[in-house]
Parts: sequence; C-alpha cells; structure tokens
Amino acid sequence: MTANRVLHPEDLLEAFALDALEPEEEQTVLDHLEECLGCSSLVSGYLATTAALVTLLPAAIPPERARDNLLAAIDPPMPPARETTPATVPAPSSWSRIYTGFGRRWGRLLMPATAVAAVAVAAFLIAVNVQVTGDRDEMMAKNTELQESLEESRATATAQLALASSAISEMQGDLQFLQNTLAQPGNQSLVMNPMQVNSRSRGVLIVSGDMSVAVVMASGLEIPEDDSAYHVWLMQRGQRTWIGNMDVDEGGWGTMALNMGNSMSQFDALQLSRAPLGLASVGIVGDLILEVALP
Amino acid sequence: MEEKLAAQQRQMDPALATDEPDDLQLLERIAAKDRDALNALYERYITPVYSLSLHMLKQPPLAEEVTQDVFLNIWLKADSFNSSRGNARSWIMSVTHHRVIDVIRSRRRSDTHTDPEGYDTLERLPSAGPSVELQVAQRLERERIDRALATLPDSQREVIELAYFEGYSQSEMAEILDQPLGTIKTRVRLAMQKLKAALQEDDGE
Repeated sequence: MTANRVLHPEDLLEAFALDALEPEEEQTVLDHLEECLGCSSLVSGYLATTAALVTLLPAAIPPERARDNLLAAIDPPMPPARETTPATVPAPSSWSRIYTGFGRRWGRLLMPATAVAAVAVAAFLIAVNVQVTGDRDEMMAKNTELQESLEESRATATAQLALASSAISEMQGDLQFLQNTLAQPGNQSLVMNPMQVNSRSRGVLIVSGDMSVAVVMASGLEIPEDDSAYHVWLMQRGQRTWIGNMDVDEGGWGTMALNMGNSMSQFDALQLSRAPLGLASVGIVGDLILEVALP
Repeated sequence: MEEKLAAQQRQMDPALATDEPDDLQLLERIAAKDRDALNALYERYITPVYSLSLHMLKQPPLAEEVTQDVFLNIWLKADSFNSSRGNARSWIMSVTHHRVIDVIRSRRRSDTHTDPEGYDTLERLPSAGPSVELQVAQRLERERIDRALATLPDSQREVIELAYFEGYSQSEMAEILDQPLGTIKTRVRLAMQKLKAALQEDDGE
C-alpha cells in the first residue's frame, strides 16, 4: 500500500493556515494537499479558524471609489451569466489551483497583470499561429511554383545553350572555311556594283582561282524587315538560280560562303536581291541590290 | 444559544437571513462573468477583506489596492473555488491574508519600516455601517473568538497574533521572540489546535 508510506506534513498544517511557513515548506504542503484528502480537511478547519479571527478587528470599509475602480478594472462589461440558478460547484479544483494559481505569493502578487497578459498572449499566439499556418501554406505553394518555374527555365536554358553551342560550332566552321578561302594566293577579289541609284550598299566577291568556292561580303545593307531577306543568285544566260539566303547583321553587314565545285565557272554573274520570305525559292527575285560579273 | 448561533451564521453568511443567493451561487455566477454577482460578493465581503488588509498593512491606499486585487482575483479565478475544500468565506479570507502577506514580506525585504505601534488610526476609520442586527451578530462573534483565544496561554496567543495579524513567519517570530524555532513551531501547532477546538466547542454549546 503506497498510501501508507506517504509522509504527511502534519506539523506544518497549522502554520500553513496562518501563512507562517517558509516558501519551501509552503510548497511542500501545497504539493501534499493535492493528493491527501485527510490533510486537506484538516487545513480547511484551520482556515475557517483563522478566517474567524478577522471578526476581532474593528470594521472598516474603503471609499466608494474602490468599488468603482474594481468594476472599471473588469471592463468591458460582460453579458450576464446564462445560469443563475443554484447549481453544482464547478469541477472540483485542486489545492494547487487555489493556492498555486490563486494563493501562491508571487502568483497572487502578479495575478491581475499575469491573467490579463496570459489572455492577451494566448489570443496573440492563436492569431500568430493561424497567420503563420496560412503563410506557411502559401509559401509552400509558392515554393512548388518556383521550383516548377526553375525546372522549366533550366530546360529552356539547356536547350538554348545547345543551340548556341551548335551555332558557335557552325560559325567556327564558316570562319575556318573563310580563312582557308581568303588566304589562298590565287583568289580574285571582285567588286559588286550597286543596282540602285544612291544606294549605300557595297559588296565584294572573293572567288578561288579554280572557281570552286567563293565568299560574298556586303555592307551598307538595309536591315531587312521580318518578312523579307537577302538572297544570292547566280546568272546563266539570263536565267537565275537561287543559291540561298545571306544573313545580315544589325550593322548592315552580311556574308555568305559558296562551295560550288567547278560549277561556278558556267555562270556569268552573281546577284544579291532582297525579296519577301519564301518567294525567292520560287523564282521571285525582288529588288536587286548588288551584282558582279564572274570571270 | 440557538438565537446566538443563528446570528453568528447570518454574520458568517448573510444570505442565510434573506432570499439573496449564497456565496457558492455568487461564485458560480462570477465564474460566468456576472458583474452583478461580483458586486454582490463585494458588498458582502468588503468589510472583512478591507479590515484585515488595513489592520495588517496600516496604510489605507495600500489596503485599497490589496482589496481590489483580491476581488479582481475572485473575478478571474472564481471557477477555481472548490467547496469540498472549505467554505467560501474561509477561501476569500485566506486569499486576502495571502495577498497581504505578500505585500508585507515584500516590504520587509526592501527594508521599508513598519511600526505596529505607530498605527493608531484604526479606531477612527469609518465603520462599515452594518445594520443593528448585523452589529449584534458581529459583537457576539467577536466575543466568541475572544473566549476561544482566552483559553490559550499568552505565549500561544502571542504567536497567533504575530503570525495572523502581523504577518510574521515562524522563523521571524523565533528571532523576534528570541526563542528556538522548534519552540515557536510547537507553540503555533498547539495554539491553532486549541483555538480550533475551542471554537468548535463553543459552536456546540
């Protein structure tokens, strides 16, 4: 029987009712009263005894403002109680609820402010918790959205990088071709003539000695519209053969390399025109810009 | 004797003499935040609460502050009252005494001097203005307590008064009375046991 081995602080109960214990002793009694009905009953009797001692004191009442201050302190007014008929006591409270929560020295000293602060803090924490939960959900959704966007951007960047790498390789190939072509000692440089009065466009055709390869270089070209482009043609007895598009940069500078084998020797001129996209391939030459006669 | 007991009971719980709600009912309504109930409980207990506070603290402003704290705590913690642990009057006065002790010992720690001998204004304070019937009941109750205290040896009555009305702990009383702590503890125990028995015996007459 564990209960039989419990030590009852019987020698402290009388002083407890008089509030004459030291704090440590008082806590010992409070802890014990939580579990011991016998000692609780003894203490109740002693508390009734000490409460009776107040009768010996001369009666005094505070000024009426004390009541006003009290009622003001519990504002805002609360609605009347719904249950006004005699009823059972609320759930039995423990000694700790009376003395720890209500009667303990510091607890009582700080009770009003602590109680108000506790309510305010609880309300604040609930509000913050709700806010934080909402913020967390929103942030998680945003995080998912950002991750998806990041993945998409990464895939796009990878594709663009591959395209750029391919373009660079192609340009490097072109450059290598141009170097090889332009560096040959048997090359011929042929000036391309503007086909329109007051045209700012100028051009040079460098052709290899064996007429197998050539490079068209032009400057002063107008920036082509989105729906048009520059085209290179080879002329043979009045007949045009479309060779391809020539890219032009923002400075009006364009180049195009031709690798024709020995076939270029059968043509008698090279022309550069500007025509709507898609039409040159079906023979629409558009506006002639430059022309050069082939040797 | 029955009339005296009835008067004493009315003094202890005025609701017994009227149709007014008893203390337990008031505390239940206060727990439900009924301001009228708090006002009624204030009316019922303001005199003993303030009288004890003023007697022990000896400063009306401080006693008013403590009194307000007590009733504010009742407002906030009425649901913690457990009638199986004692009656409402004992609870309220216990809370009041604890609160006053807090203030007294806090002042002693800060070396604020309290001169019990210098307190001579108690008798000049305004009375609570109770009815004649209640005044009679109070006088009878006071005589009952006096008779019970008279059964105690002076040394035991002294520790009761020092502890309850002056707020001294057993250790402080041992120092003030220049007695061993064990002796003081024994006096306190015997004094409370005798006083309780004497009051119960008086009730049984």
